[in-house]
Amino acid sequence: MPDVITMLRTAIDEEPPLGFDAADVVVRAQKARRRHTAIAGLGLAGVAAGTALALTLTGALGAAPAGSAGTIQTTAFTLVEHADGTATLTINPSVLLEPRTLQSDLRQDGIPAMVTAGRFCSSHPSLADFNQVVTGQKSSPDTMTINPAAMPPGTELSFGYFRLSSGQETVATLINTNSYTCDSTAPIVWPPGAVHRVVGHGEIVTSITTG
Amino acid sequence: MRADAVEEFTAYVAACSPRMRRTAFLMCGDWQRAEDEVQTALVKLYLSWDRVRARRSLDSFVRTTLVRALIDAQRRPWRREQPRAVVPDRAAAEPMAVEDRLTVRAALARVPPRQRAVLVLRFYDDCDVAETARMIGCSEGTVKSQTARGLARLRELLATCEPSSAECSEG
Repeated sequence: MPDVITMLRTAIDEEPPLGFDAADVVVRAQKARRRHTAIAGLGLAGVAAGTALALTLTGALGAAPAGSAGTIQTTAFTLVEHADGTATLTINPSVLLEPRTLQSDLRQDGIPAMVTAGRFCSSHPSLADFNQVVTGQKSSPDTMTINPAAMPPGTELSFGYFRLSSGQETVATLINTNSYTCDSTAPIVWPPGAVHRVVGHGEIVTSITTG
Repeated sequence: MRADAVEEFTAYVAACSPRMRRTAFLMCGDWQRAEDEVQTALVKLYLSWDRVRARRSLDSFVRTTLVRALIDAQRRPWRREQPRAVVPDRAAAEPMAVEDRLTVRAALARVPPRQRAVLVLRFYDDCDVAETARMIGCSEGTVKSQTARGLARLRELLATCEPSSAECSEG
């Protein structure tokens, strides 16, 4: 009878190829962390609601608090919705972005968006309204302000997210939802005012809005 | 997680995933479930990365999570293994090496889960008694006794297995 080690090695012969990679694990982990944060947030909201109710009952609370804009914060990005309908998106260049999360959060804030990883979708010719929709902030290169009211009907914001050998890059442009193509490389040369690019190498972030 | 930590985590996952999946497979006999359990363990590792990395115990953390999840699964009726006399989905005419593999898998599947985990950790992953005891959450004495019983059970089962059909009697 063969020894145990040989038997165990025999049992794993012809193993199938691995069906996941590190990026899949990171995405799952970020989702899990986000879920935990949301649950913790719900708990805090419950406590806050309970406190507010108690204060109201005791007559200590005056006017109801003014409606505040929403903030969605994940480890990869922060999306702040302002009262004037604009939103500020800040990308954390040190954390891998989860495309579907950003896409659903943007849409939740009334910003029609398509977020793709490893691909960038764009319309040709590029849409001239982009500069009215997205504006960069020189003081904070990883931040962009989005004004959905300036988006013409039938358009969406397209975000392409790429991992670089020493960091990551997010490129944004405006697309016509009925006419666009997707490419597996980040655009290098673009017409003025057509894209906004955030490139992060560790803690060093640069941002370029062409035009 | 910072970019350098993500890079380090990514490199570790790429290096450890295949062998961790083999360990999980030997404990559960199902490649898909082994893959799921490894991913779950790696997600837990990501969430505890700084703490675990500082202790330099990455492999131990992942193996412990795997082993405990797979042993605990036996307590859940809907995940409990259903030992079969014949390994399913076996091709009719296979070479001898494949028959050997199926026979070993069939026998291994009939070794009780905790004994199987001890055998895999000690003989396949080359963990010592103390390390195995820590991972399973039992005493070193229990590891020794489970090793002896597991080996005896495996040999007994292999003696009753029909190499030509990968069938094992209850023994």
